[in-house]
Amino acid sequence: MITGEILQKQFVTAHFIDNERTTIEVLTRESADSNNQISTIIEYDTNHPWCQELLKVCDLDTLHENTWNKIQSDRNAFEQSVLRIAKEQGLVYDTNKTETKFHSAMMDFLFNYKETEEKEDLFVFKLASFELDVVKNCKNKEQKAAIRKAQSPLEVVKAISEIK
Amino acid sequence: MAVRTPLYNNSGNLQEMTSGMIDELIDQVVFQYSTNPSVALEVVGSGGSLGTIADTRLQAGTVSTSSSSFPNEATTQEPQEVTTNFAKINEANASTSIVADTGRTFPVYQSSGDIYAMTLTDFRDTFIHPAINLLVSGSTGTQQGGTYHISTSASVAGSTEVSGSSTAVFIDTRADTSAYSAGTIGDHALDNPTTVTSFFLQRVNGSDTAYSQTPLFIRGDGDLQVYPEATWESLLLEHVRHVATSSTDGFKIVYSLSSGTTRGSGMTNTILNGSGNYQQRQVSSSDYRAQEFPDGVASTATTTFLRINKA
Repeated sequence: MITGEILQKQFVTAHFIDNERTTIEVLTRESADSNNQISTIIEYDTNHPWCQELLKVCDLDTLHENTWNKIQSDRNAFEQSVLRIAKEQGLVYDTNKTETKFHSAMMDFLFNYKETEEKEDLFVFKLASFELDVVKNCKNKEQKAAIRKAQSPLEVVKAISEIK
Repeated sequence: MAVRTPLYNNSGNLQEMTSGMIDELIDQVVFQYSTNPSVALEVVGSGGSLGTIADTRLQAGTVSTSSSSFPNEATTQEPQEVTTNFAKINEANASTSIVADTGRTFPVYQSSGDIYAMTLTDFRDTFIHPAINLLVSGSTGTQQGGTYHISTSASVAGSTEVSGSSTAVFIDTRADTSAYSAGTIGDHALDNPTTVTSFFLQRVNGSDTAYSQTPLFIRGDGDLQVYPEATWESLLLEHVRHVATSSTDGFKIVYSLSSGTTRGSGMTNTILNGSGNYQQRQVSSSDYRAQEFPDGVASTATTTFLRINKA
């Protein structure tokens, strides 16, 4: 239920829930000192008493802004869940966490390089190596050429290590 | 239309009521209606007369299997839509009747110094129709006592949950994505719903507000008398109940899911909007499985409101 009194004391937020911007979800606390939230769906109808009361505490601009923020928040949450699933399935690697499969995959790439299947990966690996400061700052053309001409990831690493 | 100004007994003098006094009497009409609404909604198991509200959700596509390699995504079934229909709100109108007007049944008013009894039309225009107008408002306060609204909470201050057992009239469900896992493809159910929101039918409680003056009527001997309280309130109840169900001039109370003033919270049917989360499971060297799980962001497919109207 929405009344002016409830909105004054217990209003949390409100946002549109449809693309047409005709329907609003209003969140209020169950009571002034409660953390439980109650969802109420109302029409954006400025002739309706509930909508009139809502607009006193949350004007149309704020409704649109809240809606944008909610969509962004939902999208971020979805992307995070997709990323989590992808990591669980080993489809993407988190390089910052030791428990991921990144390191074993990298070792496999270095020591079990399959030329026919991983040629493109080797190319990307070389490109990444040229982003390293040690390579960027290297003035020795022969040493850089060694990276470009490497036939395996291990040869790339070896060429970089020789710059140092 | 003839709205009259009733007379009352002001210490032995006849005096016209103020608009405030009349409003108090109209509030009493509302309260009388709330004590025994003639247009009643009830919660039924199925087949409710207000119609059907569909809850849709996604379930996983069927499991695809192969003995040699994983079935690719182009061949696996997309997540499928599951529909549950709710027709739990039933309108049950009471059979009502009114006692015939004797010519002295209704309150008195004055015109050019002469005193008259209101006609049935006057009485309705003065007391009953304004009360019906309050009853069908979009608000859900005591001036809407005896009418209905929808809430996401089974317990609402100032209202009574109609089923008496917290039976929802609509339940919004969505696929529980956490119930699906690649490791259990072929073992988990296709349909794993989770309840998002339950919606409950509520009846607004009335409030017996005091009225400062009671109108007068013409007795059989021609004298004027203040209505006894029970007689007056019974007259109001009888007529407001009858008008609410049987008005022929646009003051019947009607509930609908499609037209009228919204009453309470809309009932949202939300569903995940993804195109399928393709996953694989190799059970053995000759058992390759793949399936598409429900995924995506929750979006609102439909919103249905309980609505009140005059007809």
